[in-house]
Amino acid sequence: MERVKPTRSELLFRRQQIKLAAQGMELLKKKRDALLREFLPIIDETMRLSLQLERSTADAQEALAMARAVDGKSILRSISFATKGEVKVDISGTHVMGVPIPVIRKAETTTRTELERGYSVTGVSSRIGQTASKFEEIIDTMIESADIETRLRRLGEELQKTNRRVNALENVVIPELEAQVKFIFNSLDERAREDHFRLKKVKKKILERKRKT
Amino acid sequence: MVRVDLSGYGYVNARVRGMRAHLLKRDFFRRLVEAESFEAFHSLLEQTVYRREVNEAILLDPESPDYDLAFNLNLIACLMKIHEATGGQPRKLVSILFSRYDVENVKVILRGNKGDATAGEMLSSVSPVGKINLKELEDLAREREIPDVLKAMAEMRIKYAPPLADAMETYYEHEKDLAVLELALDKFHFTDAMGLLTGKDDNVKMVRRMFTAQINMRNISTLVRTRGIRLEDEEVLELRIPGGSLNPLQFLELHRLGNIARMVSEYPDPGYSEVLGRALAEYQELDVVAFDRELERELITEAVGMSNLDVLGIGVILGFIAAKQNEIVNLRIVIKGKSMDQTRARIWDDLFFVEREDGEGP
Repeated sequence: MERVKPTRSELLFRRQQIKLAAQGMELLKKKRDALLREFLPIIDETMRLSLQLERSTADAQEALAMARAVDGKSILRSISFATKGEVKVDISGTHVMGVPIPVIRKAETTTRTELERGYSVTGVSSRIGQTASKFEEIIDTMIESADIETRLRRLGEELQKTNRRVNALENVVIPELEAQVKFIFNSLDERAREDHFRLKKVKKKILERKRKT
Repeated sequence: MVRVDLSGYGYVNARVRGMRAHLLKRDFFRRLVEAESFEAFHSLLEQTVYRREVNEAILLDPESPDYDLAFNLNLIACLMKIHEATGGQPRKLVSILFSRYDVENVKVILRGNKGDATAGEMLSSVSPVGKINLKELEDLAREREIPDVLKAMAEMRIKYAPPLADAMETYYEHEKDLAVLELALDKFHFTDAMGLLTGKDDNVKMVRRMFTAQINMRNISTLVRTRGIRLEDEEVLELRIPGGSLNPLQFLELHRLGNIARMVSEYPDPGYSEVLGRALAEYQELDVVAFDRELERELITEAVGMSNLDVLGIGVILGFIAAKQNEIVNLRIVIKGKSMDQTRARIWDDLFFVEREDGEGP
């Protein structure tokens, strides 16, 4: 236990601290509950997107393998030269229970029509078009997934931090303050008893002296 | 030295029939599909005409041999053999048939140029089977800008330079959309080929029939893939490749329908009702790919069917090329299936055979 001055003012100060810590703990618990309420649906959404990403990736890979088998690697490679593009993403920010969270949104859809991919629809099979479209869908899901996963991670970190604080207050700070209060109280009590005993002794001695005189 | 008359079909068709005898049969594919390991698969391939190319691929990269390149090299060698074994009319028709490789090669150069690919990357995707030889393709691949490529093509007197040059204005108007140049190239290729395939000769008619079928296939595929996309009438008509069974008005009307089932039921050429019906039946499962798949299979079947029409005609060559290309696609499908751990039944379902169940011709 840290050095504590067993004084009445210290006792009052420590009692104040306990009250403050308990209030803080209550607030933090409320924050934790609110974060949890935000966090749980995001877990479901993240799981849903993760499964969707897994499925669409497998689907796109299968389409790519089929296009590669039927149309040939050379054609696919040459088309990849023509269809190079960029994915534009808007990143802004918001706050959930005071937690700063980046918001990631696609600036424009990555899904293009057959006429917007930079090659002529008349000279390229629909297998390749379908493969391109499946991979474009993956990019859309990936952006959505990046947004929700960042949100999940940030909220998760904040939740962990809040939980650690609640636990620290509940299991360390408040019990320690209570122990200190108990120590001060005991010390003051002890001192009061000693004073009382001393006073009795002094009184006894005064009475004895009076009796002798 | 024996002088061989290359102006007729006797010599070239004899050589083609020789190559046709080496085409892999359905039973061989069954063994390939059933191969327990890649080693077993290799050793089966080593028994085929692909032995040399496959062994080279394994030597170059034992961990992951480039089978695709091996098969492609074998196909190029076969096509070159056919080309070298022809003269006179057969050479003319074979050159028209092989001109599609020129178109593809020019597209590779244009795409590579647009996508800042290196000359090496571009050249690894070309098949120098047509009139544009490898040296010319190397020179074109070294050019850094599309106008420079067109200039070099014009200097080499490549016939695709003028239509591409004509399309440059539209290309710039469409913010350098390569699709404009590719469309111009495709249209020129088919128009040019159809223009060369005139006359009443049976062989010319046969090649013309193949080109018409290809144009129809591309136009149907375009219609199916662009359905529902809002386009001006002029833009729709621009996508039509002339020369097929659809006239501009019919093409436009079909596009306006915007519905696949109605497109199929209202397609004006009754010769396509069966194949389009099959594609429509598969549409739910395969999406628009069903149309390309069925039309391609129809085209292969038709080409292979021409093999037996006249032993001294272009049909033998047409049939062989289609069967060879189909064989390579089948081989690639088996490799794809094996590398993706697909079931044997699934791999087998993806294969397409023109030959009859007994292993004989179509």
